[in-house]
Amino acid sequence: MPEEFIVADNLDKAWSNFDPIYPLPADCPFYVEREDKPLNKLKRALLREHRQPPKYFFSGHRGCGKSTELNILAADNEINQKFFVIKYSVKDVCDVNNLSYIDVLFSLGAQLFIGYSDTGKELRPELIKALEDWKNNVVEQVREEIDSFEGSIEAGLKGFFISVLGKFRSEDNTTKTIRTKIEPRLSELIEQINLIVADIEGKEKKKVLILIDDMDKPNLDQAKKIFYDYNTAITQPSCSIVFTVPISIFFSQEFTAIRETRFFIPNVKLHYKDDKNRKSEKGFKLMSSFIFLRMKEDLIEPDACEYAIKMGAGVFRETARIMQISADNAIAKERSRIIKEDVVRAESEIRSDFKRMLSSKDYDILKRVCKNNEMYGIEEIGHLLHNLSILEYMNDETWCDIHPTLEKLINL
Amino acid sequence: MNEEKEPLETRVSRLGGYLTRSYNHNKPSLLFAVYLSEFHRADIEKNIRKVLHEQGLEIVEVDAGKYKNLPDYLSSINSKNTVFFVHNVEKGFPDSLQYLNFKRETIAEHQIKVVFWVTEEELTRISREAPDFFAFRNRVVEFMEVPISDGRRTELVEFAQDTEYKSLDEIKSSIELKEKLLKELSGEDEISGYLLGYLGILYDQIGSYKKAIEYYEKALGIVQEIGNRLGEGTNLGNLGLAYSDLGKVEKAIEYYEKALAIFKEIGDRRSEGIGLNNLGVAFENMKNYKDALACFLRAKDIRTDIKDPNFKTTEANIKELKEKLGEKEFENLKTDVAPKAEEIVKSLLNKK
Repeated sequence: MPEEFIVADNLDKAWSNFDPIYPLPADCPFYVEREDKPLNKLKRALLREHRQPPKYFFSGHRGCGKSTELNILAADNEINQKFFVIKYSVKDVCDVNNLSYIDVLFSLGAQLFIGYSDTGKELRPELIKALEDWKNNVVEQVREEIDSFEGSIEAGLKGFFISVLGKFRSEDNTTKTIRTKIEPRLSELIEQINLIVADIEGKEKKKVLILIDDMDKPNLDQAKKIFYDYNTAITQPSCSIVFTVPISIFFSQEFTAIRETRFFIPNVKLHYKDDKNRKSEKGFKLMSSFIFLRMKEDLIEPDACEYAIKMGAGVFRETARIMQISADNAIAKERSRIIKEDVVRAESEIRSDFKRMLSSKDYDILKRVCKNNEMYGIEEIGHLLHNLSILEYMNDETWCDIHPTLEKLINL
Repeated sequence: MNEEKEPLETRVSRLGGYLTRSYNHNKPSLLFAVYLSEFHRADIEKNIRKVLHEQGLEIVEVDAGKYKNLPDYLSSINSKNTVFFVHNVEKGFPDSLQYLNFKRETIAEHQIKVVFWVTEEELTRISREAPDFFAFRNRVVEFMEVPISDGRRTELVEFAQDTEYKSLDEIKSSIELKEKLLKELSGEDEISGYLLGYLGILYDQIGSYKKAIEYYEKALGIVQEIGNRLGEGTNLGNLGLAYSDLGKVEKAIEYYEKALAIFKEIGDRRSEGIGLNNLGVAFENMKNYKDALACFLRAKDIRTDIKDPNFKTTEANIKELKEKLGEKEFENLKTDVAPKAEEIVKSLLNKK
């Protein structure tokens, strides 16, 4: 994050504070805790004693703050007291456009090894020897098909892991070969991971926790393969793991087998099911603090603020975007305060963006959802959950509604 | 697509302002500028360039067709005061979409300031096929107006006449653009006439026949006023088609006949071929097989004569009529009609 977090006292600074792009780092003063503290549920679950290290699946709408919440979890004191934490984004180490469960498992072992090495500590020599033997075996196998493979690998175990991850990111053919060599002996890879886990846990007197972010980024078919077909394999490592998963997988029937191990970051509810006029005061209050932690209250008219919150749909990034555009609109009109007209213009711009994403048949679904707030089959609305034209809310039951900027569009 | 439009200068200065503000705050800026006309884009870019230069910002043009991995490429040549203008976005599809979607953080981490100059279609694909990347956008600014000058008329006319769309969505989006353009073209009768007529065709394609008729009638009014006889005949013919689609075949025949009279008068044989073929279909629907066959035979002669590849349509219509009547009856009818087909058609047109 390139700049400090100071409450804006002018619209220019407010514009900057409502940057919709960055997830917040841990301990950021702009962070607002949700009423139902969804992260706490995950934290409590992790801190509980388990016979087997748990695997948790974590999801939420695009822009709802998943990465921010994972950053906070990774930096949490209690978590760090109990766990040796490794957090990484699968996007940084693999090609998410072409991701297999083998890449995920390999990246997990690699990140664990690299992360521990980076603390300046070493695994026990016998384990290093065993890992070297395994590495040599893999290199030998791959070299049978790709002559240049050995020469392209950096020295040492860390070098090996970094080099192979580099190939996963950029070399499609080599990736395929590595996979075909590892897959028949997958248990060996898992065994190596488990040996590393055991050694770290013994040395650190802590459990190992791996947080894998951005597992919701591969395309849906790949994600389904990894999470449905290879669920057993990716949950084999003997450490606690939190995976992010795509929202449509999360709610699908096939995924119900792991119902107890999934955690969802809900959007902030701004009204009640079937009653758009019944405002959720708590939700509005939370989103007001989201806004006023970033800028002074006198920079926006109260009715404009209320409207911006409504149009932000209870999704943090969406609210940040609508506030940034509104601030820009006010600046363009040489105003020092955002008025409702600025927000209405931003609303119209966001509605236009949705119009581009929606196809004719989507409108029928949106009309139905707007009318009765019921969840339909995930096959039918999965893509609409993805693009935020339908948003999920939770209280006693799960319900959904359309993005508020779309109401005018479907009532045309 | 925005409901209410700001003046062009406001949008230009807004885009410039956004980029300057990003520069001042050392923030990334991911902007989309949607445009309709390349000429217009060039003008706008010139204006924005001026605004940015005054603020000490340098513009680097990037051809997306050459660099598919845009996030890595932009970050490799980025500097604090660089603003990238990315063009030819479609040429990088589909690979570039994947790079943008999965490497969006690279743009954020390097505080890249970039404007993607896109058409409506390109932006639609980005929003649908690179949704994570699109979710990172700061904003979309629209420059959808079309400046009129003599050098640009040809392009405008081409756009107005374009009805080659495959899907319902594409047709709807084209209707939206054409209706928007129409509003901006008050006083531009010739192009408005084309737009109205081709909007009629698009509405006809999606089954909104009444709306199609409404547009054809407006188009007809304009072409009659400016004395465009071919346009008059075409719109009359299209009105015939729309009434025929509505099941009002007699009304359709009336329009086809009026259209044909004009095509004959101005000597447009290609249109005459089309008109006769359509009139034949209408007579066939009325079970008036004699007149139908006369029209088809004349249409076939004309179309063969001028080597119009659509003569196959007329041949297919004749074949269909033959199947409908049975070979014997058809041959009898043909023997009767063929020698006097021209005469029959002439009397059909003269009776009005």
